[in-house]
Amino acid sequence: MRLRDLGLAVGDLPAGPLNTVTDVAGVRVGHARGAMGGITLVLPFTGAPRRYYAGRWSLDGGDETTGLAMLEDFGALSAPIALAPAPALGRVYDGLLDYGFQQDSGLGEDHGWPPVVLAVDGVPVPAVSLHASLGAGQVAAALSTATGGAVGEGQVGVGTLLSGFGVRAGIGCSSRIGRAGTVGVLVATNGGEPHRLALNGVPIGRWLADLAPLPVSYRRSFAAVLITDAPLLPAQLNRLAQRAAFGLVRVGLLDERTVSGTMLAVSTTGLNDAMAGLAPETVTARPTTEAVLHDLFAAGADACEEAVLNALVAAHNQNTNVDGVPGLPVDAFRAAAQ
Amino acid sequence: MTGSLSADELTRRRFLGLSLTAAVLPALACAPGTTSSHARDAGARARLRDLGIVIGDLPPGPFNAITDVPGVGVGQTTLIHGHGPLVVGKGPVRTGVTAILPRPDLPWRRPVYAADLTINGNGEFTGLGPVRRTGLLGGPILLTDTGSVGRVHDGGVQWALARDADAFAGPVRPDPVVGETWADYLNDTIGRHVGSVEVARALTSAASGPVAEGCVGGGTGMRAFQFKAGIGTSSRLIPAGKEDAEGTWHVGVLVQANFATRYQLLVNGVPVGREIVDLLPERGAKTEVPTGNSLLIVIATDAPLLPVQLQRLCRRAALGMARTGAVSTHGSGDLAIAFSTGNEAGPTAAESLQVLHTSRMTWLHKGVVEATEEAILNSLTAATTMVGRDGNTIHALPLDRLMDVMQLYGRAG
Repeated sequence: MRLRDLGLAVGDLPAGPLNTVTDVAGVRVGHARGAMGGITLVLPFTGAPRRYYAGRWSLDGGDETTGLAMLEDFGALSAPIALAPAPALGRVYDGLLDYGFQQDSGLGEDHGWPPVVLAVDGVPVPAVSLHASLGAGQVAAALSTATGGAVGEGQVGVGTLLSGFGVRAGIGCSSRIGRAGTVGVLVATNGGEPHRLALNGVPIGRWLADLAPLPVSYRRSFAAVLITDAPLLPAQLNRLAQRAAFGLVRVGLLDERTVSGTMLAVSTTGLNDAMAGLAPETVTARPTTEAVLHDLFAAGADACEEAVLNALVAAHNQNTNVDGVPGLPVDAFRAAAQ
Repeated sequence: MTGSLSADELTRRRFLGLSLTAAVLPALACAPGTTSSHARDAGARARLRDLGIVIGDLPPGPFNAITDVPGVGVGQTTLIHGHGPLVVGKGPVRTGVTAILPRPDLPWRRPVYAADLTINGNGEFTGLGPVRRTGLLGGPILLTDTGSVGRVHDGGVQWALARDADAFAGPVRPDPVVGETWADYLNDTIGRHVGSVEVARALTSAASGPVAEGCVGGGTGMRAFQFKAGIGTSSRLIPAGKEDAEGTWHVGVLVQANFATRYQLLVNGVPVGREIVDLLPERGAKTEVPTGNSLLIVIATDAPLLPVQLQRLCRRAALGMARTGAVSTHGSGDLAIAFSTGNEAGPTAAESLQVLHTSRMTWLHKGVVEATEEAILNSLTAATTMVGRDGNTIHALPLDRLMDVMQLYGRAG
């Protein structure tokens, strides 16, 4: 179940056909679970890896993120993007190296290296167990099942056992069609206080009085991946990542208790057209005007806001009451929103 | 360890200019194949300063190493085994891991202020997000080869969890800072031979004292200026206080050098790389000119610096790198991280801290530039010729010829 199945939606911009991150052509998503927790992969390219422009915004500097040196210096990456709990980061990284070596035994920067792993932490199980249950097997499983089309939401992949706003949360997706292109987002939703939950500015959480806040010690850490087919340059993708986070503030996920959060923004149009060994002397860049950028910023923010709500709605009947965490009371939620 | 080699073989190899280390490689094939030490490598040849070549004018500390910063420990595990054609997963193996611990304590329990700098981004340092966000380093620094990053990171996590199952639950977490350079010319990169056992051994053996240089630890399979290189270190004593006061701060640098092209090499300003143009790497029997790739720089100081000041030190490390002639190519992962042990930081911080006055930074800048330059050159003078996968060979910088060139330019010391 998704937010729109409740007759609700965020904002006025049109969503893509599936209202998910894969509305951007060529994007694939794969989820895999271990004995505890899971991982999620987002592949911004079709087939073999191709270099893509990327940008990042993080709260205060973010959480553990690999590939950071290349992302910030080159403004480009070429690997699948993995979301995983920090204790398993090295094991997931190693699994992505399996994939990288398959593409190019020389680990070329255009062919899947360096691995990109964004840490998402909040799963309330011991780090020792979480560490042991995730690794190259989950990476291989997520790669082999990664697909376009509908994307699993809620308690799937890295979203497994994540909570937010006092209820089960996890993976949520959404998309918007702007003037310059489509923006698709995937948010690993985790954290947020019940009384802050809002939809289109309506403070729904205040009317859902039964929701208990997450424990103070609960690690409020999230990560989001934004993908657009608009031909944005790296500095513009940094801005898209930052502005899209406004949607996470509006919905109440990003607040003063958030420990860390990373927004990674990617364009599927641009540098990759010229790479993969062709390496001409120059590549084409298409400057985007401020007006068009602002339209994309709005698309990203609205999609992020809806993605968080999609995560809560999807998870309302998944993994609930494990550790006493309930699912979102969808009827009360809908009533409050209307 | 040389028992299986005949006297004739040893003589022949010496005649050919191959080092003893290279000669014993076949003998090591079936041996345990790992060493772990913080003592001077038995095969090391000389340190730059022992040759009479002195970089700059600040004095080094007693070890002339990053371990001159009180509390800083270095431990290394070196993996050298196998020879002949590459068999992925078996070898030949020419790699290892170099561990740096800022203090003798568990890093997440007693973190240090830290900052990083990307000079060129075609490389990896994991763990930078938390460093940027908190200004604190709570995990070990681990240097290895490119293929081993994931497993070394995992080894760092296992080491932490074995000592503190709640390490990830605290305000400062043990995310390891794992850096890499590309040893593929000599090493079975795809086989990813460094794992949790090697990491634990390096971390457990981390101690103060002299630091082995050259073909050790993460630097085992590395090259610089197309000579054999690897780990190098140096330090400087920094005058502390006002002009009339006593005391010193320490600044130490450790590098994993795997970068630059021969003609660029400058030793104390002398264009050594334009004078010694032979002894290029040999792929099997064929000479070729591989270039690149990366330089990892770790800077430690006991001067009480905040992260913003530590980032200034990272920038000066780039100047030290430049003085060796390198330009930081597109394909290079030239990454620096700096930390200060001069204050308690994070959860153990006092209510107020004494921080070095900004006006005193120049001495430290100078110390970092000098120590970075000398650490890189030490990695060259310590490293021995190495034969690796497929018979690929990287030659050591010949010290006699180095001194001839220095003499020629009137800079022999």
